[in-house]
Amino acid sequence: MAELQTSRLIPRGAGMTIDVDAIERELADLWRSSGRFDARGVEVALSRTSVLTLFVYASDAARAEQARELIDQLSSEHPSRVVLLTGQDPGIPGQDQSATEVSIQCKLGVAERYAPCYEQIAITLPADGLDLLPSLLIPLTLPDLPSFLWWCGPAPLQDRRFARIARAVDRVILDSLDFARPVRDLVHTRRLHDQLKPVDTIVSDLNWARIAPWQEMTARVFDLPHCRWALDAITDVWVVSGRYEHLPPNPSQALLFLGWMGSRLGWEFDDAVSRPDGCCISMSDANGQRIEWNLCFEPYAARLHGHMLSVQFQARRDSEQATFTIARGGLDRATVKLSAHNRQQQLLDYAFHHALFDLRRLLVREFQALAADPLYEAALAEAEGLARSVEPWLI
Amino acid sequence: MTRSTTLLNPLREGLRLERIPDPCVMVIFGASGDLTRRKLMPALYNLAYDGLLPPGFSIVGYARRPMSDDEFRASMRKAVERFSRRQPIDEGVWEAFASGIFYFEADFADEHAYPKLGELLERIDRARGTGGNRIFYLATPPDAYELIAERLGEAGLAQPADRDSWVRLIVEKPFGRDLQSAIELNEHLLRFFREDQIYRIDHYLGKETVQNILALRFANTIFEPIWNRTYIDHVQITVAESIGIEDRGGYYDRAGALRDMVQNHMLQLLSVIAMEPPIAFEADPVRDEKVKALRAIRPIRPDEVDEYTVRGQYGPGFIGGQPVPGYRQEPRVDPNSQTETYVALKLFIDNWRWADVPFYLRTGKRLPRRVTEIALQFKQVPHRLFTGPAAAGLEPNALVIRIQPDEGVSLNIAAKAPGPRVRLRTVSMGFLYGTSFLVQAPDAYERLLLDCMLGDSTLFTRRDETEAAWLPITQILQGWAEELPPLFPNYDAGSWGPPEAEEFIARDGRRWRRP
Repeated sequence: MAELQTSRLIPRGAGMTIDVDAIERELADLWRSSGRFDARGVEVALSRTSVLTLFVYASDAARAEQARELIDQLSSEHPSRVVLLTGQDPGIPGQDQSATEVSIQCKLGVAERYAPCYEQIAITLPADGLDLLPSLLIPLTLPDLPSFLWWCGPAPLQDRRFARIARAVDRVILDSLDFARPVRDLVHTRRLHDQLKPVDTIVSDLNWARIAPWQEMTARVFDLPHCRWALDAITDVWVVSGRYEHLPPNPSQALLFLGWMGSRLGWEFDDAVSRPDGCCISMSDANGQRIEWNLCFEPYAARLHGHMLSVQFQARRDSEQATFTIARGGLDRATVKLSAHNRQQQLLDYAFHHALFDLRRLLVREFQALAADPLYEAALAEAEGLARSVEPWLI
Repeated sequence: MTRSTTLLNPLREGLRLERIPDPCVMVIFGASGDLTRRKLMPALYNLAYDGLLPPGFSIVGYARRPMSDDEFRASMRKAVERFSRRQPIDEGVWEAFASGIFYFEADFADEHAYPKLGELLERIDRARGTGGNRIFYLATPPDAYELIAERLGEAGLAQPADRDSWVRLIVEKPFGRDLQSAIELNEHLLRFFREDQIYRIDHYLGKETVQNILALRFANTIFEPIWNRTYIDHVQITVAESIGIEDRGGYYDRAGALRDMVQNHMLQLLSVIAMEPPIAFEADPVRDEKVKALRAIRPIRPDEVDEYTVRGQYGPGFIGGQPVPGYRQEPRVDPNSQTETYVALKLFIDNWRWADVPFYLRTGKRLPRRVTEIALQFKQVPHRLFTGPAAAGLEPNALVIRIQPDEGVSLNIAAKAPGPRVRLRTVSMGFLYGTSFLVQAPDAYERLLLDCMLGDSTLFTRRDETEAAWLPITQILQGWAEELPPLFPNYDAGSWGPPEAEEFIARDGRRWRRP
């Protein structure tokens, strides 16, 4: 597939202002002047198809580069207006000279008459540019289409200005895997969620989407008639998450997973104690039966830091006993495998591949979800309480 | 309707997959055949890969060829490696998927084999928790359908063993050779299976864009008010294939384009374009409206076939710069064959919405490009403000629904070209599904197999639909049988069909689109 790309730099105005009108004007001019012929000289209709506006905030140049690559992949399948906002690293001089760049990129299919195109606007923000963000987001949003802000990097959740920025879009996408202080920031996320509820801005967390395969596999175990009994008879759960040695443990995924199960099954928090490799949370179900939830961290490579690696449930009722193990496996660790055993035999051997471990797919899922997710809200509320209880040991 | 075990599980509520199928066994008759290798097994593996199959899902391949379970698994693995859209094969997924694949060696006619098949299914139920739920897939030549259904019925396998389990039968097209044989086939199947157990598969209905026609029509307010004889001049449905008959000469020479494409795929497309809004997006309301549209097709008397149809057969020619043989030179084709490889039809739907609006249908093998599209050509404006050079070459509005390739919708409208003088041009507002939605569309078989497991028959054809579709086709076949066939071959491979087809539509003051 050939590519047609045209771009233009817009110098900063007086006082380093970012001229939104100039951005729109230059974009309109680019549309008028773009080549409309493919390599064979055949006329091609440039087709601007947009289903959303995506703002991406990258906290530094390295993240911006990573985000730009991802946007290119996403946009070739999903043309949208993309606005890449890059924060400045105060340690690097001369960045204020950067200009805004506008571009149109089109993919020309072989022998096709239509070329889907997308607009990209790249803006380097002045130092401490949080204040001016809402004034950029609102006028650059395409009318009548949903707007998303993907915060690529640690979000300043404790900064009051962050809620004001989030209000300018329909959905703000965080990633609790990137949280600087994971346990504390989970608590702040809940607060942000409550602040934004009256204005209908939805908060979502890519890490919540990452646990979808674990949720699906867990639900599937108990969908089975011959395993259903075990759901009311869970006694012990072991969750193993990866930890990169140079980073503090990140229990966000595990806490959201436990928050989900707890909110669905009506489990009540009892107490929490520290363990050498993590912590143990005790809960009770509606019948008062105690469930020990063991959260452990295993040393792992940086790419799996904070990711759940396995979950094991043990259930016991009268003479029946069963163990269900869900684990990530395969070359890319994207295969989720379930095995179930009772005292005598293997009950199940089941596996599927899950694309939701891939960041591009995670974002795709976010773009398709326009409504709030009540499961996430309930899980986050539960996880916030649990985070407070384990905070002393997992900071 | 399927029993739902998932309601009992509070963890299921609110997840992306609100419903997953009950654990079940799929028995594929004709397991060593091409359909199993190319379509069914890759589709089932893709469903497993995406986590859409239930735990315990099992497959029993039924065929005559001697083979062990392991040999069958190995041959299916090769098929998946070659034909699955998911590459490379995920070892973890394959291992779990393959552990549920079994082989059963027997002749379809062997009445002693079916009780043994029943015993195998019961063993699988016990070992894998499939709970007596069965799908029997007839991936066999059509002449085996009645026999297999009968043997299943005699062995007590056509009905579920208890209230909580289900049994379904999937039948591939062709559903008969004409109206009478379709009625006979349906009646035979219904001796052993209830209509709600029978899933007649037409893979065109599994295509995303075909389903999107319903969304386009009934989820938007702007189209339905103009979707009628007041605004639409005519409709063109084109299913063009650049391929020949490949290795299907034996079958195709007995079927021809009218039976192979028009009776099923094209009339299904026509019915979703022409149907009235259903009262709900559910199996029976949707199919009720499709049947009404099919029943409203104006009959073509045998003496009218020349007026309403054109037949063609391709001779040698060039496709993509390569020489290709004529139809009569294809393997397993009678060198004097009178079978049509091209059909053009003009149909009318005699109802309030479509009275006097012609539906032009054309399909052919060895046409210049592979394309399936439906074009609704709107009428000219009632009073032409723009005439002469200003409007030279201006086409009336057209809404074009592209089914394949590059699924999408485009609307052709008139606009003023920039400049001091008024000159109008036709511009196309295009919307490509592939570029506006991010997820790769599943193969039609994946969608349909999953729907069958879920007990959703919306995208399968009901008995009355197949029979309503056979009626006009049978009338045409009778008319053709009563007259001398055209002088075949009458179009070159790589052309848009016989010249008679151009004259056929030109008589009405219209012309075929060049899709």
